Amino acid sequence: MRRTDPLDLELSMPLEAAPAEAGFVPGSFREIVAAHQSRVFSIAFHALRNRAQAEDVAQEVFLRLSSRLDTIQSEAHLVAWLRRVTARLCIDELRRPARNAPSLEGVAEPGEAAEPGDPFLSAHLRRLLADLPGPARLALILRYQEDLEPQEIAAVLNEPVPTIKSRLARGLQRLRDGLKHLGVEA
Amino acid sequence: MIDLERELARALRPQEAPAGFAERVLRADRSRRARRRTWLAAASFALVLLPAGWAYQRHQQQQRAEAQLRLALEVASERLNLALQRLNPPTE
Amino acid sequence: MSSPLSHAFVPAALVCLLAALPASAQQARLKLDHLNALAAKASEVVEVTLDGQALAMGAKFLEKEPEARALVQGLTGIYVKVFEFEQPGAYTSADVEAIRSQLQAPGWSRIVQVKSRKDGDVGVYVLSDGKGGNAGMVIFVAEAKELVVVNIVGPIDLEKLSSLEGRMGIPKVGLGKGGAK
Repeated sequence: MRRTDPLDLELSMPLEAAPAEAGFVPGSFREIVAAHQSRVFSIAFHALRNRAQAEDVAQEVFLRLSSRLDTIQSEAHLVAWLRRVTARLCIDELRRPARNAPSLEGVAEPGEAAEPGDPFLSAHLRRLLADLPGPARLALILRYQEDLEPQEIAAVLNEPVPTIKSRLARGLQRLRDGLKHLGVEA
Repeated sequence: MIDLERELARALRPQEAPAGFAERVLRADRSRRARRRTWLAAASFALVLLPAGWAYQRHQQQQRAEAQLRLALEVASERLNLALQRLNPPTE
Repeated sequence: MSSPLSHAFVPAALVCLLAALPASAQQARLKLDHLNALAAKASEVVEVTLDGQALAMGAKFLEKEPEARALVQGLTGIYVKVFEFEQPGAYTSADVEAIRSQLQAPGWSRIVQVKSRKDGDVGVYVLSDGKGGNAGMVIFVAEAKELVVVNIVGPIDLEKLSSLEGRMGIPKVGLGKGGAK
């Protein structure tokens, strides 16, 4: 994984949007990893479509957090920090041509709990999502996995709100078009 | 017709992290901290030792120069006096 | 209109003028490298090479010997070579001549010379600075089992140098042979 990340400085800064809690004491590093590993891994996995790469990114996120735990001011700050760093590392990873190879890992993992709704539709949607450009994919992941508003996504990705809105709209339209090819109206 | 946004939220439901992920992270963290400690210790050691080494070397140079100067003056003085005494041997 | 006498006078005047020119530090320093080979034959060797920074550094620490400190203040170099041999004949006349020839250069004058079959040759030479003082000195001792060269570069007060004997905080340098020690 690339370590010469030009965004390192930015990632080390606190997020103004995340409120500070007076007297906030973060849990132990072990507790934080246990509590947030699924969130961080999921963002990375949906963005990268590769479990090994996603695990690498997720591990790197937590290792960076470990050295900056004392700068975390609240639970909200912690979650915002994790989202932002995960997204940035994913973008970084997606820019690397060597490891940005197509993968077939969008389907459900064997042994996973059955998906609610139509599992085939979900798998199709993940494949269509994987074909979107990285920034649009991340915007949709943050919107529909993390349930963030466009303003919050803009803060995480450090982009203007209109850009995010536009990416979300175009991304959804491409998904609709993709489903249409499969005979699904959305 | 499906509700695309609802289906998308379903498709993007959180995934479980791979088994043993947390342990691997904690192990990597310990390893990275240990490496950092080693580097820090090495850097601190070098930072302390280099000036000390330089000062010691300088001190050695000074001592050597002083000793050499004392020796040179002693030899010069002694030899000069020896020459003068041979020129004018003391009367008995 | 010039006379034949004036033609003869010009080169002579030039020679005198050159002789009167202030002696340089380069002139006062003898070339002694040819003696280095003697170290392998010698039973005892004392070699001191102090110039520039090393000399200034050494002088700085002569706090308890203000006279010695003042003495070396204007010096630019002190070079000492002492070779003691088990047997006579370890050095050659060429070794000695290579030094003596340098001391025959303009500006050098011998102020002390003692020649004896028993004690060998002892000479003290000073280099004139052209202004009534000296710009350096050489003490040269060539005995049967010993060869000594002390070369001081820079103005040196011989009287003060003489008075330093035994006051530099080091034991006698093993030079007792034939001396008045």
